[in-house]
Amino acid sequence: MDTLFRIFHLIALFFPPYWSLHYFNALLVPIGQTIEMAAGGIFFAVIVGMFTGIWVGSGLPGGRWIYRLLSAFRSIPDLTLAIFCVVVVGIGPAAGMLALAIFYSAAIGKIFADLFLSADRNPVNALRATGATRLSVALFGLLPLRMQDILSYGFYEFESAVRASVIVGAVGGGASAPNWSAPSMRWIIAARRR
Amino acid sequence: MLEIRDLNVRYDARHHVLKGVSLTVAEGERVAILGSSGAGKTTLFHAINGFAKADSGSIRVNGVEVTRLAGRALRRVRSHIGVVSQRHDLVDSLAVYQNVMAGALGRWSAWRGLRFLLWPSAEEMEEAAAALRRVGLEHKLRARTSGISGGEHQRVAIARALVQQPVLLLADEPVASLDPKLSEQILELLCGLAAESRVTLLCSLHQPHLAERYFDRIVELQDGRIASGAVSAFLQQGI
Repeated sequence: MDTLFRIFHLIALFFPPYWSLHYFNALLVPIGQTIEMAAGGIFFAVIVGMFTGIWVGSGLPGGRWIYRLLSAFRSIPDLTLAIFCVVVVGIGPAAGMLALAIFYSAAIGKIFADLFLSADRNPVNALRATGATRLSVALFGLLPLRMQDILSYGFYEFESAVRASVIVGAVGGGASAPNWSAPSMRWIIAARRR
Repeated sequence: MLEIRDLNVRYDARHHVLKGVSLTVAEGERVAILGSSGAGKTTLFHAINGFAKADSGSIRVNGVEVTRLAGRALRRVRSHIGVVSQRHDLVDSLAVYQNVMAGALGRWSAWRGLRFLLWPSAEEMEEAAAALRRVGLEHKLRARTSGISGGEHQRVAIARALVQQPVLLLADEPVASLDPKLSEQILELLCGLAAESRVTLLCSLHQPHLAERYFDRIVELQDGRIASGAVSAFLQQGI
């Protein structure tokens, strides 16, 4: 009952919304930092993911092991990775970005590998039949055949990374979560009491 | 030009697809391979360009033994063997000229390929246009491949094979999905281009009357073996 009361009390604190310009200005920097963290992590992840995806999707040696490694890293929650990175790198956006980069490299690598593996084999084999190298087959076959899905999943993962960077920030990985959570709540509550 | 000796290909213990196939094709010769579905025509073509591994026997293309090749050496041989198949094997999301110039990938590095995709040079566009001109599709140079018809699709595939400057052209049932009129047009084009460029042509077909009309020689595959002696019932039925 006490828990339920606290939940409703917390929800009630959001109303009416607090429209202070000063508060919004104070949030701009951490919001920017959140997007930077997500963009930095995803940029790195897309490069690694594309490379590993093409490697696995082209059937190059060791592809199965890379695929298993990607699956293993993807199974570690981003929050766990963030705590690990904070311990290794220290509190700050670098730890958050590193955690996101590791998690999303595995996620994007595995998705891209699955996309390339399920690409229509007829055009791919026709390109191989011209004597093309695996990289050329990927450039002329796998990528154009799967470009729409790659862009769609790429943007989806970027959105997920923005969301995740808020959570990652809550454990000391930089960005806006600390500002949005405890301090901001304290600020709003204090403002209401004034 | 093409010399196949006692070729055996099995996919597993129960699927012995090619059983001691021997075949010699002279330079510039046009040979039709006839046979019912499952006779081993596609497997024979796959063995010639190294996609199906031979259990025993030999395949020599221009004097090069291909059955034991791998990696770069196999790619080099493949770059001289053009392939036109019945299947939908162009990349729909690319432009027609990009599919045509994919025939040059055997002699291009991956970086040259990437540069071509981003900034094709005037010479490369002219090469694509010249190949398309030979198949009567120059006006489709910049068209999206997804927007062309089935007959045009086969012509683009032929143009891609021409860009390879092949010594051997393998056409695996190239008219299987086309109507009779279009089938004749495509075979006429294929055989005409092969004769013009002195390219050896090996073409698998289901239609004996087309084989009779367009090819120098007919070889029949029956249950993974080259049929010998008199014309079989399959051929008699069709002719």
